[in-house]
Parts: sequence; C-alpha cells; structure tokens
Amino acid sequence: MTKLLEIENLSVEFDGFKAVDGVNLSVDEGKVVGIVGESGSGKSVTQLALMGLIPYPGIIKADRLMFHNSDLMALSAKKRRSITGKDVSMIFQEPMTSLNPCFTVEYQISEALKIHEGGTRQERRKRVIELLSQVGIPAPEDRLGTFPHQLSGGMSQRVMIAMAIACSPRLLIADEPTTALDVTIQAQILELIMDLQQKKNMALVLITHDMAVIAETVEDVVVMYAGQVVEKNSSDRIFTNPCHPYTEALLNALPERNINSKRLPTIPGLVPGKFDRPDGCLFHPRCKHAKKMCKEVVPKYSEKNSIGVRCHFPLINGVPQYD
Amino acid sequence: MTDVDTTQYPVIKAENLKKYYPVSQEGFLKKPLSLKALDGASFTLNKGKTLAVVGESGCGKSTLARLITMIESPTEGNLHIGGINAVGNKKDKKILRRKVQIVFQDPYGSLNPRKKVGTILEEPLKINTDLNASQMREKALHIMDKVGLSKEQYNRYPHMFSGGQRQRIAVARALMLNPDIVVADEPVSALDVSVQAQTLNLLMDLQDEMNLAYLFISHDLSVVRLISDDIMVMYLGRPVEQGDKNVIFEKPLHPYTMALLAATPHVDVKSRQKRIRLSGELPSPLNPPPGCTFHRRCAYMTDICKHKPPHLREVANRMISCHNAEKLINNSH
Repeated sequence: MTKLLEIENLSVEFDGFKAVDGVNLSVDEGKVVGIVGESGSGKSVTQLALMGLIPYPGIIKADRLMFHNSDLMALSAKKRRSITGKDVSMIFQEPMTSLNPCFTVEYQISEALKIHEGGTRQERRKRVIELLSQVGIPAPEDRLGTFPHQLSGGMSQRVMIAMAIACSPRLLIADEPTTALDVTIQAQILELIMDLQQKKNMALVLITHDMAVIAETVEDVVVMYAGQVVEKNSSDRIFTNPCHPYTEALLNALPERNINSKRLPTIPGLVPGKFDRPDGCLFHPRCKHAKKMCKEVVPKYSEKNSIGVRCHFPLINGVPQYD
Repeated sequence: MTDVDTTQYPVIKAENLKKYYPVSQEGFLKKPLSLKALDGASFTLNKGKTLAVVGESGCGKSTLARLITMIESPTEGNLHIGGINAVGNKKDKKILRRKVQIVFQDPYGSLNPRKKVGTILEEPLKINTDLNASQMREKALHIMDKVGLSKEQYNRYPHMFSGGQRQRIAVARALMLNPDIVVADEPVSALDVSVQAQTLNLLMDLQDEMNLAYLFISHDLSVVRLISDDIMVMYLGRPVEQGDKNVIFEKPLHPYTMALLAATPHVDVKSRQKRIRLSGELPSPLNPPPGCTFHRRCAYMTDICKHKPPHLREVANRMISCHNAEKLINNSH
C-alpha cells in the first residue's frame, strides 16, 4: 500500500497560539480516515494547512508534508496550486455559505475544470452535467443555470461535492460535510460520499465532531484535542476499547450510551485556550486518571501495533496502566 | 384574568393548532397562496414533563414554538396554558407570557452583545415586575448560581463566554420569571459533545428542582430519547406519530419515524439499524402532495395513500397518521 499523504510534526501558529501542535497523520491510497474532536481542537486547521489555505498571521511548520512524492513545503506556489483543487480537494462545512451566491452552479463547477483540465466550453458543460448526475441531482441539465439560493441545503452540499470531485482527486477532504443537514439528508450525503470514494478509489479524510458518523463510516479514527492528536486507532477498537482518557470521556458523554440515566457523565472544565495552556499533558486538568507525572511531563505521541496514543498511562480495557 | 385554579389543568393543552402564512404570488391580481406551516397539532403537556418535537427542518417545529410562546397567534385551533385561553384576550396573554419562556438554538445569536449578563437577565424583570434594582440584582444572582454561573460573571459581556456558558445565560434568562413552561428550540445542537452533556444535565436538574415543563424541539433523536417523556414526530406541518417515548422508540410504526430512527448514526454496533433509504427531500409546503404528504418518499406506500389523507388515530398505544399502521405492527422491523 503506497502512502498518499504523510504529515509529520505539523504545527500551525497564529500569533503565538498553537492551533495545531505536532500532528502526525498518514493516509494510504484509497483509504478512509476520520478525524474527530470538539470545536477548537485543530481538526480543520490541519487540513487547511495541507491545502495551503491558512490566512496571514498563521505560520506553518512541519518536518514532513508529503503528498504523493512531492514535498508540499518545498513546492513553489504555482506548482502547489496545480495539486490543490486537482489531486487534493475539499468539501467545506456549511454548503449554504461556501458557494458563491453571485454565480451559477455551472460556472462554479466548471471553474475548477477550466483551470486544471482546460477543454472547450462544450466539453466542460458536458462534464458538469455528468458530475451533477453523479452526485444525484435530478434533471441536471435544468440545474446548470440555478444560483445557490435556489437550492436546498442537501442540494447545495451535492453541488459542493460535484465541485470537489470535478478533477477526479486522489485525496478528498470532507470537512464536516453533514453538520448543517437533517438526519435523513445526512444519511443520503454520507452514502453518496462513501459510494464515490469506493467507485473512484479516492482516499478520504472525513472531519467531524459527531462520533456516531465516524463510527458508521470510517476505518481509522484520529482523535484530536487542543491541537494535538491524542489517539489513533481503528474504528472497531476505539469505540469499545479507547486508549486515551479523553476519548473515553467523550464516548461516555454521549446521550446514546446513557439512555436510561438521569445524568450524563461530563468532562469538567474547558478546552484550554491561548492563555491557559497547562504544562505537561494538555488534558490533565480534566482527566480523571491524572497523576503527578501528567502535570509535569509532556507525554510523547507513540505508536505501537498501529495504535497511536499521547498519554503516559494509556487505558487498556478502561483501566490506566500505572507501571 | 379569570379566577381559575391553574394547578389542576395541564400546563399546555393544544387542540388542532394551525398556522398558515400568506405567500404572495407573481402577478398583480393573483390571490396569495397560503403556506401551511403548521397544519393541525394537538397535544397536552403536564407539569414537570417533557414533550419532544422531532422532525426535519421545515416540518413546523419552530412555528409550533412561536405559537406556544405567543409570539404569533394561531390561524385556527385552541391553545390553553394552565387552563387559560391563550388565544385572544390581550390581558390574559400578557400574564401568560410570563409563564412561557424560550431558549433559542444559537447562543451566539440570541444574546445582545452590547449588554452585560446582568442587564440581559434583569430585562424580563423590568418589564414584568415592579422590583427595585437591588431586588432584581439579587434575583439575577440567585438564578445565575442555579445555572452554574459565578457572581463575578454578572458584569461581563456575552463575548467573554464560551458557547456552553452562553447557553447557560440563555437558560438563566428563561428562568428569571419562574415560568411553568420552557420552550427549548434546539438548545444543544450548536454545542460540542462534552458541553452538550453539561447543558442537558443542567436542563434535567432544573426540571426536577423547579418542576418545569419542557417543550423540547430537536432533530437529534439520541438527545430526545434521553430527555423526553413523550415525543411528537412531525412531517410537513403535521404530527405523524405521537405518544410515550418508550413505546415509540421501541417500535416505531410510522414509516417516517422508522426512517428517522434508522438514519440516526450510532456509535455502538448493536444499536445500529438497517438503513431505510428515504429518497428525495421534503416537498414544498406550498404545494404538498395529495393524499398522505409522505407517500412519495414512503417504502410502504399503497394506492390509498395517493388519494386519501390519513388522520391521526390511536394504534398500539400511540397516535399515528398512517393508513397502513395496522399492517406495519407485524412488520419485523
């Protein structure tokens, strides 16, 4: 299996605030990886850094940022643009705001085609119609001239997906593709994305805050907290035997697991911000298993048997391993 | 206000509530169409209980909330709050408005950024009571303590709070007038899992403590399953299935409820169900399909569904509006 994407020790800093802090991530060709975390955990920023979309005060540092044999850190801006949007593309959150309200659906989809693949206008139009029917929009010929405000949320998300797969990317990044949608539409969109992934053999990175969506769709899960990867595990194991206390606490807080109780277990405290980043393990003030060592020593991210975890005392069957 | 002992009545009794909005058509002399945002909802809600209203966007959940909070008045139907008619008499309405309070979905949009927390909390008191400034402050601090905000936060502005804390402020504001009913319009859907758990705990604790009745509007079925006593599933302005939470979650009968339950993703493999694919999207409420409004997306559609609209009736301990409900009982879903 060839590695399509390799990120090693990626950090993104905004004015001294580390939004992403030492993230490692690798995606194999044709694989599906899920990233979960609460808001502010750096899941989107990691992917934006990969796409080269970090705005001005942001500084990107990485030991390695490789996409399919090309080093994204060393490439010229022009070269890089020829990769992003073509080989790597992204579906953004909130379809209603990500589409440009001033242009028709056809214009917006064919824009990417024009830049990356050229061709005549007729060819592009044909391809747009083909794409729209691939993402399940009925009567695509009639939809070419519609503007985003004429579409429902589910339909706009389908247009976003059509745009993202226009140039047959090898890696598709879906950033909270279903958060703004209703459950039944969410199911349709997820099914569509997974279906396209299978058909085109794309690699897919699915970013979401919804544990259940991850559980039902992906093979490998990466859990992020305060800009760091705290656990990487297969989705079979992570939901039954989480290794990091944060993952465990998050899963316990789900209403689904507490149907008949009168109280939900919660995680005390808040995600650390710019000024209250604790020493040692970033999660220790909120961790119920924390020991003295957690307060003082920063835990290293270590990988063993394809399970990665950033914790001094990783859990085995829910019990922390104090040596 | 008429002298009625309000304790013996259900806090809300709604009968056949309807709300139509006129929508003007293109063309000078064309009659405006009526958009049936809510087309006949009936329910009762008792003290200390929670009724959850579930459905996709556009199904009339929020319209129902606006009617219950008396922000708008219904086109048709009866609404009694604590035994008093809430449609009509202005004086009664003013008194009843204190009894019904609302918590909105988006805590970033529902708090005035130019006012301090204290001012936000005291505003309902200013309008509805004749307490003096120090009494109001005392009351505000008392409620803040109840929802888990500290005293120092009295003088802060909303932007200094996180999403979860803002939602606490919104809950506190709703509680300032000691209401009987709190309408919660998607109160946790904008929050992260861990904060969502805290907010849900808070809501459940407050219910026990103050004997509040909640009208809980949500699209997240796992949250609904946790917090509600009764649920009402709505589709295109009409309730399609309503009844006790356990009855409905254990054996949903309406094809739409089944599809909703099946579409909800689950973390645990054993609670997952086979996906029932719902094709298409919610039809336009301006031009609803004839017969059963759900028939075009329904997997169990029969001929009668195309022509005859079903009515709510009782089948297997719940109210349901489906022609084929009896047949679906034996369906091994």
